Amino acid sequence: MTAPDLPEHWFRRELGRLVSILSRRFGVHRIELCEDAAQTALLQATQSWSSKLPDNPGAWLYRVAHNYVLDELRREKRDERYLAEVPVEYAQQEVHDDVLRLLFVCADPAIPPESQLVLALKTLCGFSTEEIALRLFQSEDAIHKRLQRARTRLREHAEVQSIDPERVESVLHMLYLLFNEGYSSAQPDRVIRRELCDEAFRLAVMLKEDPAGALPETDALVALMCFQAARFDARVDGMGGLLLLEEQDRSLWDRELIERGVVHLTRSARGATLSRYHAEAGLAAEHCLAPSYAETNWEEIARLYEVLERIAPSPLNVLNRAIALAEWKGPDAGLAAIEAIDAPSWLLGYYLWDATLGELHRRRGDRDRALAHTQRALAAAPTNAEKALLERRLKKISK
Amino acid sequence: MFLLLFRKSTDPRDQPSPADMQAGYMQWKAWMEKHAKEILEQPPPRSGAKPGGASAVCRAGAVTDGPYAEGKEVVGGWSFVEVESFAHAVEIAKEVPMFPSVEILEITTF
Repeated sequence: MTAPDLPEHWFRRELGRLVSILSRRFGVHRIELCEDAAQTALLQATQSWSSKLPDNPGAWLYRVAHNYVLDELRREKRDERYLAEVPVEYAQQEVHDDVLRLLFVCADPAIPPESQLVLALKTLCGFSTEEIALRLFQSEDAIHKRLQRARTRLREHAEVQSIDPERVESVLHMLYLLFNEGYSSAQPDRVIRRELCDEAFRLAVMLKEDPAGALPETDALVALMCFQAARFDARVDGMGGLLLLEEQDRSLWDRELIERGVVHLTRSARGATLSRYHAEAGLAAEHCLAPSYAETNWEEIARLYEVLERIAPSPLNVLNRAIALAEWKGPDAGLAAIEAIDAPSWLLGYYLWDATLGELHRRRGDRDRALAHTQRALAAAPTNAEKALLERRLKKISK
Repeated sequence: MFLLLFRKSTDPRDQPSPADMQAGYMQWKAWMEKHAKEILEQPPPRSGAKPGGASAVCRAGAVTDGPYAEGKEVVGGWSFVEVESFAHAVEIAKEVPMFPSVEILEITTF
C-alpha cells in the first residue's frame, strides 16, 4: 500500500490549476474562496493519497475542492443558483485554458504591476504569502496588503475577467518582471531565484502556445528567457561569488536552451512591431552566440542598446552601450558616451555607474580615478556578492 | 485497538503552503509505510470507545491527558491502529506528520 512519488512542485502547480478552474466556474470575484478550497483539497490529498493514489488525481482534487466551495456557498446562503445540484465535470483540455485565463485576469492594468506579480505567484504558482515575501524581498504584511487590494479589484470588476487580447502586453510585462525578479534578485539562495525564472518561463511558453498570446513579442520574450536561463548557473563560481561575463566558463552555458532561444528569436522576426523584448533578446543572443568575450560583436551590441534606448528609454541602456563602445573602440569612446549622459541623481548613486567608470579609467591607465570610482561603487553595492566582485577589482587596480 | 484523531489549526497563518504539503505528502507516505502492519486499511465496521480505556493527547512530542483540543483546532483526519499496547500507539502517534496534535483513544470493536 504505497503511493508513488509525485513530481517536483506538483502541489504548487496543482493549486494553480485548481484555482484557475474553480474561479472560472464560480467567478474570479470569489477567488479567495477558490484558493481556500484548493488549499483544503490538497491538504486532504497529502493524507488520503499516501496509501493509494486515486486513478485520476486531478479530477479527485477538483471534486473535493468543488464540494468545498458549494458547502461554503450553501452555508452563506448567498447564491441560490449554486444550491441546486451542480455537475462536477473535469476536462483536462479546459484546464489549460483556465490557467491562461487567470493569467490574463492577474495582468489587470488597474492593478499595479508589482501587485499583479504577487497575485500570479499566489493564485497561479501556488506560493504562500510567506514564500512570496521571501522571494520578493518584501514584508509578509506588504504582500498581504497587495493581495487584498488586488482581490478587491477582482471582486468589484467581474465584467473584465475573460481573455482580453488587449491585455497581452500587460501579461508579457508581468512575466518579464517575474523572470527578472528571479534572474537579478539579490536573494542569495540560487534555487529560490531559479524557481521564479522557471515559473515565468512556464507561463510564457503557455502564452505563446495559445492563439490569444501567440504574438511576435511573445516569441521574443521566450527567446530572451532562454538566453538568460542558459547562463543562469555559469554566473557564479563554486563559492557562490559573482562572475563577470568575461570570466564565465562558456562551456557551462546550456547549448540546448540557447538553440531554443535562437528558434524563438527567428520566429519573433515577423510583423511590424519591434518590442523591448526583441531588442533584449537580440542582445542576449549576441552574447550567447559569441565564441568568446573578445570575439563578441560589440558593434552590434552597441547598436542594439541604441535600439533599446529608443523603445524603452533608460540611462542604464546608455551606460551599457558605453561599455560596448569601450570594448569596440576603446575606453575613451566609452567614457565619451558616459559623459554625454544627463545622469539623474539616482544613477550617480548607483553602484554600476561608478563601477563602470572605475573600470574604464583602469583600462586607460588612470589608476587614481579608477580607485576612487571603484571604492565608491563598493560602498554602494547592494549585496555581498557584488561587493566581493568589486573588491577583486580593487585588488587588480592596486597591483 | 486505538483511534488516532489528528487535529490541525484553523488559523489562516498556520496553513501549510503547497510546497509544505509536498514535503508533508512524503512524510505521510513514510509514516504509512513504516507502520503499515499496524495501520488499518479500512475502518472497523462497528466500534466504540472502550469503557475505562486509555486516552492521551500528543502535542509537539509531549504526551498529556488533555486538554484534547485547543481553541482554534479542528479534527482533520484519523487512523485506526491495531497494536498490543498503549505505549506503542503513543509511539506511532508521535510520528504523525503535519498535524500539531494527535489524540489517542482506546476503542473496542464488536
